Amino acid sequence: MKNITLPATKRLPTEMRGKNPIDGAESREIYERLDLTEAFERFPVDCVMALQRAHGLKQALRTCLLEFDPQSKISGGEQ
Amino acid sequence: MSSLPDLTLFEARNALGEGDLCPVEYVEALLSRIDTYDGTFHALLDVAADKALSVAKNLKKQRYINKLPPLFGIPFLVKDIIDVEGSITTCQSRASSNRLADKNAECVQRLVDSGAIYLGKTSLYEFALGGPDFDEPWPPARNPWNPDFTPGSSSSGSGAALAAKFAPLAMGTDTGGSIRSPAMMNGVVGLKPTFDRLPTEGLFPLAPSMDTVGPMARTVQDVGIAFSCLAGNSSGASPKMGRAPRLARLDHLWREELSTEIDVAYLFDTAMDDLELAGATLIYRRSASMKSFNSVGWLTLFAEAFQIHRDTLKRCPDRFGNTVREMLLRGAHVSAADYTAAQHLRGALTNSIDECLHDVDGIILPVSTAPPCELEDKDAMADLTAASVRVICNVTGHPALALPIGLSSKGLPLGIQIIGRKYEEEHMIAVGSWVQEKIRTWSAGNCPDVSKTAPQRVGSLQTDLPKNTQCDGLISQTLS
Repeated sequence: MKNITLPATKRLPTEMRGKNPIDGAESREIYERLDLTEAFERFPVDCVMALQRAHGLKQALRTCLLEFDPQSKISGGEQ
Repeated sequence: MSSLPDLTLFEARNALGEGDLCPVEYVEALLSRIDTYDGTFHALLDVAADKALSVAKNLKKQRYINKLPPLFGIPFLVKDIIDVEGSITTCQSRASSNRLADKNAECVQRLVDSGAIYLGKTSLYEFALGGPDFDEPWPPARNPWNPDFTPGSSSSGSGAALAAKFAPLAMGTDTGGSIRSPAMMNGVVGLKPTFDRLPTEGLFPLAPSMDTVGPMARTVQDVGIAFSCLAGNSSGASPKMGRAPRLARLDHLWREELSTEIDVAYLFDTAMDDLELAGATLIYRRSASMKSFNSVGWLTLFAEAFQIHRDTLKRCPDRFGNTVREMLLRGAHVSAADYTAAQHLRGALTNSIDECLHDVDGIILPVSTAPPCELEDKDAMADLTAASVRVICNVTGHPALALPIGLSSKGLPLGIQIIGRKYEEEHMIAVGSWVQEKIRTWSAGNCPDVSKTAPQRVGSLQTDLPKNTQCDGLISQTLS
């Protein structure tokens, strides 16, 4: 399998790694895809916070998976 | 004899069994205490005064006919996420369905079959998940040691009611630590059983792969008696330890990974010294990291909780309180791949705890690395959540017993938890009983003097308590 390297423009700056890179507009799109548009429209702050916290939790899970089993094929997935 | 609300479950059972105490008199004494003090603590959502008195009167007659059941005449309270026949299960939420339970949850039925008397419903965090929201129709419970402080989550009312001596026994649920947190913060004892050891039929689910129901009381012995009845053992006896235990310390989980308040570290170390002096063997071991237990536990919990509330979140997200809504929405972002990865790691984490339990009687840990904080201090409440060492057992399914070990510098209780091997609750209770006896910074059954911490407001039962009937109206209004 070939290694895939993201172009520099698609990589997160170091200070953003492990943090949520998603802005409000992208959050809206995500909630629309999840059929939770009304929740986003009425409670946008809660929605963005929930997305950030879920993102942090998933990052932590991936780190732990690798720590526990560096050869793990199970890595979780992006939404 | 002490005043009636002072009696532990064990003492009350003996007095009721000997005929020194009448069930009606006992129920009346507890109702009077609730009436006097719950206007301050808000531990109860509903008081089943007439029903309890009627059952007590019937029991009084039975006393002369049959062999007495193990919980004869013992009043108990139930977290309002557990069904009780003829009562609305509100889950302390406007988003809850307006449903009158048509039968008792299995755990409630087992207590009733053991002769116990249902006394009322206790308050909780919304759906056993949210925080102490002040925009909800029901006020959050407050800590009887100091009403400005949190009584813990989410079986808050059960813990507060026990410390305020409203009943000798209460039922809680524990999906992420919700029995052990209020047990510690109110200075009482709580048992989170092995996953699937006690039936969860009749509980509104939070995260079905982690939900458990368990007893809370003021002493380990009382929890042991209640557990034996809940587990279907009709003897109603609490197990005892005939020797000093061997215990594993997993200090790395909290000393290395979490910020620990000095009060917690000092009292924990003092308690460990007491145990060693009394003959216990303490062994340091290392398990998987706290970070891994936290990420697997919370990711699993949010994903499962979101699935349960998905439709309501879509149609009417405003029915949830602010805290629980944001938490449920986190689960929307957990994909099938994330969930599968978490379950894969969960198996490995369970093995890690099993290995630490090899050739010892239990694992010993603090319940939290921070003492109870002020209820309305949002930052401190967030820090308190981060200080939890409880989700470990919900991830792995092991049983755990939380018990108090002393008071913080601000006069609020602190506690430890003993984790046992799966399906060996009786042994864990025996260890807990030995530990409680040997710790010199706490005497079993210690409770606050609520006549000093709460202003007496006679008549609050009639005027101040938000009752299920009122909730019923409110929910109907919301639904229409």
